[in-house]
Amino acid sequence: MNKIVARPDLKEDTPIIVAKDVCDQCGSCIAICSPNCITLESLAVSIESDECIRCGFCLHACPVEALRWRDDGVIIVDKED
Amino acid sequence: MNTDQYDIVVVGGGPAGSMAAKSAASRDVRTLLLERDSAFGVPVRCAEGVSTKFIGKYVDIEPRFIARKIESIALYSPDDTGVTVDNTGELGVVLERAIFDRHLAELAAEAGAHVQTKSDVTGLIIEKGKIKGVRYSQLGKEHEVRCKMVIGADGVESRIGRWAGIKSEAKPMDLESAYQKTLANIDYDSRKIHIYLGNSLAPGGYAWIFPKGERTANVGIGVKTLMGNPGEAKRNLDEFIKKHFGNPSVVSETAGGIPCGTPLKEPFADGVILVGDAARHCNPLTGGGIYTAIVSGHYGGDVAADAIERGDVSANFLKIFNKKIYKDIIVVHNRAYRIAKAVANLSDESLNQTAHELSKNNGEKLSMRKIFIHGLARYPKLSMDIMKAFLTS
Repeated sequence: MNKIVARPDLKEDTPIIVAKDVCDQCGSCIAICSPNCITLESLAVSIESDECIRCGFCLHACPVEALRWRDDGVIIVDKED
Repeated sequence: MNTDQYDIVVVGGGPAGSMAAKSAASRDVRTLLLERDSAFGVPVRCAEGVSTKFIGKYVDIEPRFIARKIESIALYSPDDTGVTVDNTGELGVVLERAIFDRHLAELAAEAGAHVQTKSDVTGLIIEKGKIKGVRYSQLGKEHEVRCKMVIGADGVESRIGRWAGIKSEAKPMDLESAYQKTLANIDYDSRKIHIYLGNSLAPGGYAWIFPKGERTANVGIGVKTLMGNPGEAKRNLDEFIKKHFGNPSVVSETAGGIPCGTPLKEPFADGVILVGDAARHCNPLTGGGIYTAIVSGHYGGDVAADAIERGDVSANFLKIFNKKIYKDIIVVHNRAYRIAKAVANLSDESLNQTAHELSKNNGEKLSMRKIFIHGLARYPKLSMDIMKAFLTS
């Protein structure tokens, strides 16, 4: 089950977060990312925060809603232990 | 760190990459094919349908690749009025991509290419502005391989294109976001491909049922990225499946991006050619990309081998690639793109009325010709265009 948990330690991170257990690694977000700041890692995509222009196209490109806006800089979707 | 030397490194082992490696290697050019995943052909990110009309020129379709032969295609308007085009003979097949793709990789190896799995390319080696090789990681170890040319067959995300400075990102309006489930033990007409249109069902795209067996099918939806809400493809698919099949068993599911724009104007740069989805060589109306990947890979590999033989890997020489694929890909896809735009502008009401007029033709078989003669009062040309596109991609 996914659960929304607060992660204040990630405040300075990218405004877009990735639910690793939802990501299907299909590459749609990478294809659409104009500044080319998304990379595919072994489990999911990851986003480099300094290069992200916050256009939000990747959220629309993702077929499974693995990418989401971070509400206020302190929310992240993560796997519940 | 191991350092190897090749003439051409092909990145990505889908149909485009394997065909490129095959056609390059068959010209006595030292060729390496790198696949990121642990096996060619999996995971399958594809509805697996392909017309058998033209593909035989490039590769023999053996019975073991075929999940199901397709005799006809049924189009459904938003109120589920179906119009079937009856075809004489075989229209196409739904493949077993896992077997087909592996076979293509084997053909590349037989032609002389060296083929590797679990080789995830992490960057290009560029020295003094020239491409000199690629870096890849394999089971946690970093490797370098030197080469004179790179063929990017790395799919919709096309990292090679970005690294080589080609403006290859998908235009937001042209990317389709898709979700597909392979359903088992369902009741449906498995002789046909079923295509469902509708602006709320699949904005800018369509839903499909592609037969994999008598009671098994790939069922999916593609939605134009900016026309739908995030996650719309999967949500709408779940509703579609519930409506048509209840709560069926699912044996596989996959997500994917489909490049439904026009071909890249310049799918090449000094020392690099892009092929297949990476070059946006995918039919923008149907989303079909297997046949075009094969054509694109075939000519991409051939042009790359020419470049190696001549000692000229400049973009200026590689631009001949566009000439080779002009008739089969560029003309066809530019046309399909215009049709797709027109289809996307049709209201649900117009789609329903058109389907009603066609389905009045009760009992009589609808050939392409008869559809035309009986007249689609509203969009005769457009309807013909849609049918044709599905019949040939």
